[in-house]
Amino acid sequence: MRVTDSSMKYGSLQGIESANSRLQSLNLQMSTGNQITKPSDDPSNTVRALQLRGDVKRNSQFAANANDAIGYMSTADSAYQQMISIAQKAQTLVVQGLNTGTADATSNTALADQVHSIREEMLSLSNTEYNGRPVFGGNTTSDVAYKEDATTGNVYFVGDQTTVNRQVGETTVVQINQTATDAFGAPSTSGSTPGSDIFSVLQNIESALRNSPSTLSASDLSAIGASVTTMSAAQAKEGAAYNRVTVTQAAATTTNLALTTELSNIQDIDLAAQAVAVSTASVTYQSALQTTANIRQMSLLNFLQ
Amino acid sequence: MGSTFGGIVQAGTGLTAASYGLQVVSQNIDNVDTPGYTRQSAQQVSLDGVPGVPITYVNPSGLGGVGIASTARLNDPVVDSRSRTEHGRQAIADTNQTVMSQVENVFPEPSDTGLTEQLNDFWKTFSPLTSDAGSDAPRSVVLGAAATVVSTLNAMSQSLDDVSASTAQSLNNTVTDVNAEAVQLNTLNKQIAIGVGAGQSVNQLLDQRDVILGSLATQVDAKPTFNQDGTVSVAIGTAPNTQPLVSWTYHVGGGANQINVDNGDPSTPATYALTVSGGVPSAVPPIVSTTPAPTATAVVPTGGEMSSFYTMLTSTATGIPAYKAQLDTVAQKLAASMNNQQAAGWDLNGNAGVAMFATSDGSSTFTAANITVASGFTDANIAASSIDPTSPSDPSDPSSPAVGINLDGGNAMAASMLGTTATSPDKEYQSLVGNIGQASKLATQAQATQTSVTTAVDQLRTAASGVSTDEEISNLLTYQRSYQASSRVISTLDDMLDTLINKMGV
Repeated sequence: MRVTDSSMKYGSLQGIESANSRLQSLNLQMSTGNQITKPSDDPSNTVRALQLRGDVKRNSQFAANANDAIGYMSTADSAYQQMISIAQKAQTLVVQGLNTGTADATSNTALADQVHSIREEMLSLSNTEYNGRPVFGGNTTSDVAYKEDATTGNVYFVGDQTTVNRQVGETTVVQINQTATDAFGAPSTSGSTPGSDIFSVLQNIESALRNSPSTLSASDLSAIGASVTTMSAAQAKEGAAYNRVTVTQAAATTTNLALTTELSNIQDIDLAAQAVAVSTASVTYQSALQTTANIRQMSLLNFLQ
Repeated sequence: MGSTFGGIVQAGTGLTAASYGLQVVSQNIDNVDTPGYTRQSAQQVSLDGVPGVPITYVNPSGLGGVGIASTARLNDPVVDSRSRTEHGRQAIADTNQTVMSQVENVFPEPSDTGLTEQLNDFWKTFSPLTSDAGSDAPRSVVLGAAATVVSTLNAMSQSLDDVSASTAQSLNNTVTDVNAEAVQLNTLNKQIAIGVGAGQSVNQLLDQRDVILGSLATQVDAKPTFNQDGTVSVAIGTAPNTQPLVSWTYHVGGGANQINVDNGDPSTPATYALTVSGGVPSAVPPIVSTTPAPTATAVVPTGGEMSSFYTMLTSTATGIPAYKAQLDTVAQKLAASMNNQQAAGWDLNGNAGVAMFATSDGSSTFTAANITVASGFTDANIAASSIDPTSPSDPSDPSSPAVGINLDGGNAMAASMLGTTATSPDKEYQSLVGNIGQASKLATQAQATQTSVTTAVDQLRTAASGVSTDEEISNLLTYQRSYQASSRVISTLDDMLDTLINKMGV
């Protein structure tokens, strides 16, 4: 084959250019720290990386939602605990009232006062807030869930009975509240009529103790017992939901680690391997330049006198 | 030996031939790096002088010596033609790669700031709204994220338009170049025809002709047909719709046509359709088509950068319109999924949700260019609640009073998961990025493959027609020695004649 100055030029230029462009692209990956600097570097992994980014972001949001749910339910749980404990105190007061009988008006009034204060405390606890919203009021815009009517003294419900849900996983939506009926029994919705919830039970007991101790009966005792059972059941349901959220959250942490690792495997360079590749490419480029420079210097003219 | 001085004259032709050879060598060395230069060689022929012994010794038929028959242009027409083909393909590969990488630059993914991340952020802003539907802060954040997403879509659409505009500019520039070259080629045809008629060497003109043909091949699918005198006709387009660009009939003459681009005007959009006009018919006999180009005849180039620019500008399968359409689909899916979700909920004032996204030009079809946050859409309009204000406050008791305005976040919760649905804009955008990445990667690979083929062919072509300095130097020595030897013959004959004329019988 004939070899001419220009044909040699094409051969050596192609070698130099390809060595240079390889060095360039390796250098770009090295300096950005990314294997994929543009979609065409690896189209399928680019799409995978984009999906993973979405997954990671959502997962972090699920974790935040779970924390929010846990806060909400912890608040509700401590309210339940206190309410159950004071309701049990009311139970003992009713037992005392039944034992005392109608004889001692003063002590019955004292019991009535205690029941009254328990009801007030119960009312205040039923308006427990999380993040500025009453946890027993559903999705109400009202600041409180229960109000006390100034004239009748009836405690009535101003919230709503809708459910509060949180997305804590890709397909996991957890109900984090118990409706007012589920927690305390069917409430009254206006101050003029009494409902059939714990507040009405306590109110009945109080008025019986105060006005006609003889009407206090075992049914009052069983009514308050039933209220305690209802609250305990609601607390247990809340506990189950709490448990579900924590399990999901733990799973989300594991998933997050897996997703982040996969994203890193796809996106990030292996620093050691990359450094070796860059220096190899650099040596290749240098030798291409060196060889070309040496060969191109030679000519017949060098050897003629 | 015919005459007394015949030997001197004969040796003199040797001197002339050798010095002409040296001139050719010098010309070759001078043009080692001239683009398109084809090496030349002095074609020596022996002149009838001492054709045979013994009869011709008695009766020599001529003066003898050496003459220059011609100056040959040492190219390989097959390799030249192959080189033009490969350069045409190279131009397509280069142009595709350039345009695709411009398109790809519009989509800087994967990154922390690309549209994917903005969409993720947008959906994520609905999560805080789930637990805090009554506050302004999370609502403003949602609106802010929505504004960011649509402005990015608008900007991407604009960038794609910019790529289109610059590609259209390149198409026009190419057409201008081709038109100028067609005129140049026509002029060269005339000069070659005249030169050949006058018996001059037209090697330099042929070199220029080949440079123009090479350049034309990279710009358009120029198919040359050569006449015996070196003049050439060029047709473009694919049979049966080829059109003459330059037309030359041997011993008759010809002319050049011009290509026009439909760039549209303010009232009609550009179609970038290409036409040939000028009215110069095909050369006779017809090259590939007898269809004349009287005024403006449509032509679809299938080679060279012109075809690549044209495809990129117009193809709805592989061109910029394809990617723009898919970006529009992203905008449509964003508008559809968000507006449908809005319609499923109730806002902070207890009203049914209104559309969050609208078109800026009032069109009923969303595009990436016209999508915008609906005017008058405020924080309170975000439909976070999934509970109808007119529904009973106790779902288990239909007679309970209406729930009224509520702070439920159910609809916001559903909105926060919109990015995962099958019809989400996220999936469409990911597929768009995947498509572009794939197309760009293919273009880059095709370019790399074509570059090595083209380089190999260039190497072949320059090996055949390029100048080798080593070869020229050795030719130089040969001619130099031959000149010296011829001089020596003359001085020897001179000595002999000196003896004969001056030393004898004096």
